[in-house]
Amino acid sequence: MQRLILMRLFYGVITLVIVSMIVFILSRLTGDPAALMLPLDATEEARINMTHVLGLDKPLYEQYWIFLSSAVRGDLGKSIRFREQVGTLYMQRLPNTLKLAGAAVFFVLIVSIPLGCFTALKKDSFADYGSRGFVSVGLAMPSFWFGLVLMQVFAVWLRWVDAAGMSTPKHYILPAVTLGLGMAAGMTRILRSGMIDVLDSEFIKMLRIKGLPERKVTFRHALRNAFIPPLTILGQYTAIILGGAVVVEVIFTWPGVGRLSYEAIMSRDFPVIQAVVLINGAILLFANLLVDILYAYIDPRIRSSV
Amino acid sequence: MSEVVSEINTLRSATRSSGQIALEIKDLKTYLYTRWGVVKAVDGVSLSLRDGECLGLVGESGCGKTMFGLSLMRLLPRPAGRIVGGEVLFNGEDIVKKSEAEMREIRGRQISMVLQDPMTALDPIFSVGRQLTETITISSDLKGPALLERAVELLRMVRIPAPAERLAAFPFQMSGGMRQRVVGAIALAQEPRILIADEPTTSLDVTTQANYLRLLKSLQERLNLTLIFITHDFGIVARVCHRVGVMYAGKLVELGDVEDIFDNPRHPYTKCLIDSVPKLDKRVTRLATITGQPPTLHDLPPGCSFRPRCTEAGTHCRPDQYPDPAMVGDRHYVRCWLYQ
Repeated sequence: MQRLILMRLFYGVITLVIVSMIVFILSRLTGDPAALMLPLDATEEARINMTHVLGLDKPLYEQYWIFLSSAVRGDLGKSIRFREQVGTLYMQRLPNTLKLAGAAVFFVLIVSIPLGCFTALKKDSFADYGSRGFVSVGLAMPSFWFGLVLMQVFAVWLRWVDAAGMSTPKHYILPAVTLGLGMAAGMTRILRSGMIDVLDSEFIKMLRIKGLPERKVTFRHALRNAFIPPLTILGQYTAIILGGAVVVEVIFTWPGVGRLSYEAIMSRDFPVIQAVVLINGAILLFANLLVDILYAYIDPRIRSSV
Repeated sequence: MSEVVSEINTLRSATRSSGQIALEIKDLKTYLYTRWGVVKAVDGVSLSLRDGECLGLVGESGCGKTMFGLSLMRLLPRPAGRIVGGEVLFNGEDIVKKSEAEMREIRGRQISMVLQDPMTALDPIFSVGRQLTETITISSDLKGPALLERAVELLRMVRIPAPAERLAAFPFQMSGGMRQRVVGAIALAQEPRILIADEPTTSLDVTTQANYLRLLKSLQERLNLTLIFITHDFGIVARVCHRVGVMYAGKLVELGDVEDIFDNPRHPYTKCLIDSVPKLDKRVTRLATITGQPPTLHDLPPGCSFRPRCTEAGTHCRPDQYPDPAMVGDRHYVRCWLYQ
C-alpha cells in the first residue's frame, strides 16, 4: 500500500514537471508579456528594458529553471491584472470551489447510487425506462443552458432561491444541480450496467442460496463489486469540478477557481492562467491517486498486486 | 462393470434409504419464458428423497438438471424462469407456494446448494472468514471469538489446512479445489438437511475431484445429509450415490438404485451414457458416443424427445405421446416405449 502511494507520487511529480514544461512553452508562444504590460506608445528601449526586468532575455532553460524553482517554493508569480501573488488569489477562490464541488458530488451520489442500483434490480421496468430517459437527457443537456433554465424556473418564476450568490445553503442548490446533472446521469448509467453484470454472477447466486437478505446482497456485495468503474469516473468528475467548473461558476457568478480562470483568460493574465493550469494538473493527479487508493481499499486483488 | 460395482459397495455407506421422506417432488414443471419461446427446462419430474439418501441426477448439458436444482431453491433466473406446475413437499409444506421471505428461511438453513464453478462462487472482495461469518450469523447469534471459532471449525470440517490462518485469505489467493471446499463450508454452515451439489467437481482437476468427492461423501454420512448430486459423469454417480435419475430434455427418463441402473440400464439413453464412460476391464480403441445433439428445449414435438438419436427406436414408439413411467424393477422406473 505504501509502495503504491510512493510510486504514484513519484509518477505524479514527473507528470507535473512535463505539464509545467508544456505550460511554460505554450505561454511563451502566446505573445510577449512585455508588450502587453507597456502602453501602446512605449519606445523600443522601454520594451527591451521591460523584457530585461521580466527576465525574458535570459536563455529559455534558465527562464524555465527560475519558473520551476520558484513554483516549487510556492511562488507562482504575480497576477498582471490584480497585482497580487497568484497563489494568494487562487487560495482565496479555492474554498468556494471546494464547497460547490462538495455539494455537486453529494448530489451526484444521492442521485446515481439509488437510481443505478434500483434500475439494475428492476431491469426493463417502467422505472428503468424512465431512468434511461433521464440519463440520455442529462448527458445531452449542456450545463450553460440547463443552468439558465433552472434559474428562470426556480429563481425568476417560482422565487424559491436566488439566482446568484452563495450566502446561504439554498444558494448551493441550483449550481450544484447544474454541475451534477450530467455527471449523475453518467454515473447512473455506468453503475446500472456494472450492477447488472455483478448481479448476474455466480457469487450473488451463492449469497442468495445461503439465505442472505436481499438488502445485504445488493448493498454489501453487489454494489461494492460494481463500484470500481463508477469510482474512476467520480474521481475524474471531482477533479474537473475542482479545476473550476468554468461555465457554471460564470453563470451563477460563483467566486471560485473556474471564474478566476475565466477572468484571467479574458484579461490575458498569463501568470494566473499558467498557475491555474499547473494546479489543475496537480489536482487531477491527486484525485487519480486517491481513486487508486480507494480501489485498493475496495478490492483486495489490487491491494496484493502492488 | 465389476470394478464399478465393487467400488459402489465399498464406498456407499450402510445408511440406506430407510429414513423419513425428506423431500417429495411431484410433477414439477419449470419453464423459461425466453424471447425465442417457452423452454420446458423441467417438464413433469416426480421423485422422492429420504433423509441421508444421495440421488445422482445425470444427463447432458442443457437437459434441465441445473434448473431442477434451482427450482428447489426457488432461485430461477429472473424474470424468465417460473415454476408453472407441480409440488415440492418439504416438511409437509409446498415450497412452490412459499413467499420469498419464507424461502429465505429455508435457503441455507434447510436446503443449500453448491455451484459448479468455484472460481466465481465466492465474492472476490471479501475475505473467506468474512464470507463464512456472514453466513453463520444469518441464522445464529454467535459473536466475537465464538463466531470465529465456528468459522474455523467449518474450514476444518472441509479439510482446509491451517484453517485459522485461512480466515484472512481472499478467494483469489486460493486454488480451485480450496475454493470449492470453502463454498462447501459456506453451503453447510447453517446445517441444512438437503444439499444440492450442481456439478461441483466439473471444473476441478482429476486428483482434486477425487478428494472433493471423498470429502462430500464423508460429510454426507456424518451430517446425514440428503444429497442431490447433479453431474454428467456416470463414474461419479457410481462412487457417491444410492440412486440415479437420468434426465433427458427436461424429463426424468429413468430412475432407480445405482446397481440396478448400472447392471441393467433400460432406457436407450441411459445405456448410451453408461457406454460412454471409459472402463478399465475392456480394451477399446474408441469411446462410445451418442450421435447428434441434445434437442433445444423449446417447441419439442410430442412423443419421445430422444427418438431422433435413439438406436432402438422403431414402430413401437408412438409419435403423438410421451411414454408414461413404467416400473421395470423394485424401485426402478423408465419412460420408454419399449417397456409400455
